[in-house]
Amino acid sequence: MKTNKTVKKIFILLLVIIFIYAFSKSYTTHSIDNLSYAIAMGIDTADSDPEKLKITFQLSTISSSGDSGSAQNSTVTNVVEASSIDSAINLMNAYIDKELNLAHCKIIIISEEVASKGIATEIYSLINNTQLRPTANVVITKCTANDYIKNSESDLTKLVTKYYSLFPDSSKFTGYTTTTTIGDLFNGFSSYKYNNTAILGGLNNPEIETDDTHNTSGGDFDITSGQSPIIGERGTENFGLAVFDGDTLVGELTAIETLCHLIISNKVDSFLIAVPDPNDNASTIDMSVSPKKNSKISVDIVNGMPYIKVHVFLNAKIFTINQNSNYTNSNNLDDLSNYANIYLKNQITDYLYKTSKELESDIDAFGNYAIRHFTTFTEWIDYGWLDNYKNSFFDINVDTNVQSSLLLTES
Amino acid sequence: MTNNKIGNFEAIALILTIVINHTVLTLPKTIVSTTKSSSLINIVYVGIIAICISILICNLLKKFVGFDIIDVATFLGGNTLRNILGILFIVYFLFSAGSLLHNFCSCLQIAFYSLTNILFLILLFLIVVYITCNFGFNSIIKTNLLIVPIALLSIVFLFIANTKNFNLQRIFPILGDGFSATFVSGLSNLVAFSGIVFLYFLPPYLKESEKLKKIAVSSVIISLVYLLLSISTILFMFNFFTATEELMPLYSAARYIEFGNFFQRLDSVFLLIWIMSLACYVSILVIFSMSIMKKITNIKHYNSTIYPFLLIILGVSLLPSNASIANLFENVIYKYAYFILVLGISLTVLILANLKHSKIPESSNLKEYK
Amino acid sequence: MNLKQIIKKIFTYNPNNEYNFSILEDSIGPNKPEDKQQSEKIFPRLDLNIQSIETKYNLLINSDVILKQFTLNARGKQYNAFILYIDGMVDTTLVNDFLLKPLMLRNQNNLFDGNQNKILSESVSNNVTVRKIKKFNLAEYVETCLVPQNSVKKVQEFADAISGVNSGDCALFIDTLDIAFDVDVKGFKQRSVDTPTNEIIIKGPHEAFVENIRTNTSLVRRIVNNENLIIENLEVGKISKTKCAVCYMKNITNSSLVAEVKYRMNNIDIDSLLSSGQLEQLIEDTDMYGIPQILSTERPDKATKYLLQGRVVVIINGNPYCLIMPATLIDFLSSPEDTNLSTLFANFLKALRIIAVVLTLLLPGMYIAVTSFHQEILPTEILFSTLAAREQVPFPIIFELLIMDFSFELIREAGLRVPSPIGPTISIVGALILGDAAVNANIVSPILIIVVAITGISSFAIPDFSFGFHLRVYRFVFTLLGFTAGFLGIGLGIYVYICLICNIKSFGVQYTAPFAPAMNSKNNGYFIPPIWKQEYRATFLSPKKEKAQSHISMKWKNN
Repeated sequence: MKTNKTVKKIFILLLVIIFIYAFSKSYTTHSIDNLSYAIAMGIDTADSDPEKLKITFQLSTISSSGDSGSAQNSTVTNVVEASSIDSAINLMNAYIDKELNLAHCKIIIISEEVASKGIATEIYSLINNTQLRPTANVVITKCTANDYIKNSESDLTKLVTKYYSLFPDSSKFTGYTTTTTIGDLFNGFSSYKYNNTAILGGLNNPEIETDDTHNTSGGDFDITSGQSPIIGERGTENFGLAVFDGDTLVGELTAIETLCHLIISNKVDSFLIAVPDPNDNASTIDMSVSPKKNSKISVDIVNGMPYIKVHVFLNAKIFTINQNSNYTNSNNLDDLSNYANIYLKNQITDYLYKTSKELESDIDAFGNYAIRHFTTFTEWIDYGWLDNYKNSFFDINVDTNVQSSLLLTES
Repeated sequence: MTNNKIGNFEAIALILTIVINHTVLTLPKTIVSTTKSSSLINIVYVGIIAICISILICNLLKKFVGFDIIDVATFLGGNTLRNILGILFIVYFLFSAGSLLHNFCSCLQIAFYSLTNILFLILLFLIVVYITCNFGFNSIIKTNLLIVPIALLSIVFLFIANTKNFNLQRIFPILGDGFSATFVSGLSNLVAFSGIVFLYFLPPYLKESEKLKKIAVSSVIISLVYLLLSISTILFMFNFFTATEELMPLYSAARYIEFGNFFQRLDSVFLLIWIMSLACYVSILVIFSMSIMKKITNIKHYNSTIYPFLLIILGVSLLPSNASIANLFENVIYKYAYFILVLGISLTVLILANLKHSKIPESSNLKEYK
Repeated sequence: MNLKQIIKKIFTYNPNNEYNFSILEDSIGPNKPEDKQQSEKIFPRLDLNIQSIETKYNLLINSDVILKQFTLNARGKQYNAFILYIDGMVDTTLVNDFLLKPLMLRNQNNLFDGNQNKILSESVSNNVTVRKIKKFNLAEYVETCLVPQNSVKKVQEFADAISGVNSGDCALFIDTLDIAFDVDVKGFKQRSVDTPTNEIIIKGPHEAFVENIRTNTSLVRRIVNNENLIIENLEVGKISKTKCAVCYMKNITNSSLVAEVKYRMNNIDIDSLLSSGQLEQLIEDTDMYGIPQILSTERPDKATKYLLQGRVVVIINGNPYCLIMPATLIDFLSSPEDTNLSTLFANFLKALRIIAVVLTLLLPGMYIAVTSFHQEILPTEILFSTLAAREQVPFPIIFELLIMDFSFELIREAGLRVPSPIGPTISIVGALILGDAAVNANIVSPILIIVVAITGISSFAIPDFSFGFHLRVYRFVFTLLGFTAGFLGIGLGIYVYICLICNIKSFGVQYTAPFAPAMNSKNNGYFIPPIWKQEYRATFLSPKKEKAQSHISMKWKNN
């Protein structure tokens, strides 16, 4: 009996030691002491060989300055050229002292050049990676990814990771860009119903001249990244969206077109529009608009061609007050509603025809509504929605209810 | 051992634990790949059929109060049939435990323990199963009662936390691949309700045997709701092409949960809960196998039979050498085994036994077959 | 011993001797309906009185109710009499000097010659003297002349006499009298008992048990105030013959439970029993796991609360802690304050205690698991500040954690033994050592200090000392599991732990009742409803009286 007990105890001790040994091998890949975290990753085409990729990793360095309370995070940018993302990570592991880990990578930046060649392989391999969060944002840049990362220091917050997490949320109140996560991209690439968009980023460089052939009907907001009239400390800016057809970049949307896209997809909570004043060509009336309810979309297949009806419902409040404004007069309010309706209807129609004819990409996911007319999946595939999208006909209706101005009602 | 009566809630939890553990792994993938976007309709349809089957089983068992399927087999065909059926069920339980362990541990290995041999992960599970089986039948059933609600809550939480990622249009086209694909070949999704197998073994353990029907119907309805929640999570979040491409769809869905900037990547917490539930499930399978073995061989103390059973499970779980063989085990062999054994042979045995029972005179004593 | 025998020893299966006891529905003892206290008058015959008292007070088994018979001298005549009192509640000096002495010993008063009667009036006629005499009234005589006590009452019914005895008076019964005397000789100790040192509550009584068993039983008697409380005497230990008192309510507690307790206590073969902890280990079901299955308390109000629920309380001479059995998991997480406070606050405190239990058991293990295997759970900012803090620490995380844990336990242990003059110093030193200096010397990181501190504070929030102790020890197991295998280890550890506590039985009651097996707790579960809803006693105790209060207990409100 006694030997039985001691034999049992020795056996248990041996088991514990074996298990600790077996699992300890995984410590090196997972313990926080041995990992270095990449907070942003950029993908460009390599300078030397256009078939290869140039990957930029922005790593956070941890330096504690004696005072145990504050930790200053500065970042270090390393670049490597390789044929795929995983070989790049492998090469980088050999260079830096700790192992690279993508668990806290907030943002993936892909340059226009790479995106126009098709990024399905890169996105799929990234999703296959267990470390990466599917909620990381994807930005397509007009400049190189390397420049974007280098210029991305945040000026208002100390931690650049906070900046990366916060800026896509600005879309909720401006509507000039929107969060696009890598998970959304992954879902969209293999979808038969809709196409993807991604955030469009660029450098904020006030020396570049704006293109004069621009259609100025959008006013201040007919800009994409790189064309904005902002002069700021930080070198990057994000306006507009990049549009994909399948996995290839086919075009971009300006800020105002992005706003139209978000209005139709019900992703914006409130935004500002500058309606041109019909009485005075030079000035505009600024209104703060919010959706009253979700936009009503219906898609019919007429003669094999999609006939899409969109009805948008909005509430508006007026920002601009002149000396002679009177916003309790119902005639004034009705007039303003009409101006806003016309303005928005034009913008949205222009935008939709651009996606249909020029870009041939259904980024508003009208396919989701069209599929209701089909009972089985094979019929849907045979119809080929994405090919037929370019033949669509749009019928837009905007219903803006201008309620009042803000604090002042008359002046 | 003699005092092994369990109550109604414990019985319901017992049947639910099978559904939970299979759903966490590859079951949604199987269901969505067969019926694509009509999965929800298909599940409701299959659920109704499962309710009918369980009511049928309860009615067939009504005449044999306190008998389980092994005793019924003894009544029908003597010792030979009892032994055959018992061994078939033991093999079925151990095999499903082994393949489930392999799938789950390979997912754990990919997610967290990339450099550890899968043997150690499985060994850890088996050692825990050994320890808890030594505590006895009652403790495991009670533990199961405590763990099943937590696992159910985790799925509900997963559903609610992911609502902002849902795209409700993914339910169209409503009939998926067509009427026949949904309703006829979709019948193979009946494997989702594999919890029915425990209905065959419950009667001797129940405190109130007449409540068997109530237990069966309520547990099938709860598994139906649970399956609807998990399938809709996957269907609405992912394209069904991507949904069928992932290793553990619910785990991938858990990776998308995000509350503000603070709570992100909560998938490890879900895995914690699913690990507990899987360990509980394997212990239940082992202890049921041991009690079947006791019935077949009439040994006094069944505690030592745990060693060969654990070795068999270890062997089965180490068999698949790559993902395609593991897929074969879980999707093809398990499905066929379920249909042939649980729905085919056992139902036949029950029906034949009922026919035999109606022919024998009323005065004969059924107890001698126990 | 050769190889064959070793292999045989390892691989032979030895079945466990399972001791299976469960509380059955009570079959012993008739279920008496509510005793209508019939107004039973006191009999003129002494032997009938004695029989009646013996039945009512169960004198044959009740050890502290004393009935002393003696001969009373009055007016030269002798009468049989007896006094009835409860040992420990009366002042024996008073009883001896002012009750027994004047009645038993011959003195001037009771030797008064009885033939001299008091003459009321006298008249003479025809040489015949007719006198009106006042008859000798023994009762009046005893009351007014013999018993020099300031508070003597005459009672005619048993109920009055018994209630007097219950509150500490002494009852005097005399042969041929159909009344009894209720003499006030209370002498139990009041508030010389101390305040409880380890179980302090805000709004309740501040009395605690002491070492003397009679004082303790008197404390219990006073609070229960009912004759159905049985206190039986047992002796444990061949040499020390330690007195133990088994207390229970006769009309509430299940008889098989009482029988089991007495059976276990009578079948202990040891030399000496010196503390309640020792007895607890000797009579509990399993002591393999360190999980306590018997409650121990030093508060009489807590003990009586459980007595009135239908449990058994064992008081041991020489130890201020009494044992209460059976005990479930819920009882170890309840404090006596819960019934004194409004249910809203009580339930809030209970929820807080559950969180404290989880933190005590799992927090260090989770910390190690998250930082070793699952760091993607941590928000980015916290992760970076953790890394910055750990930058200059040379030790791996597990080593840091073990150092800090052991230092904390050392300080806690040292705090028990430090002499009181330097008591405050040790807390300052401890805080300095653990806190500032260690962090500044870069031995540990500040986040780890927070983790260990929160764990320590949570362990203090658990009401029962032994339960908290077992959690502290199991915490090390979970730390090891988290270090070995991350969440896999912790998940499996939690599963085994739950299975363990589901396996334990405490005197026939499942440890996790009423959650597993699922039973109708009848408002006796973990979160308690308002007091007017707690109608029933706990079902798992199978008490004789199930209803503790009527359906509408606040009759002033709802008539």
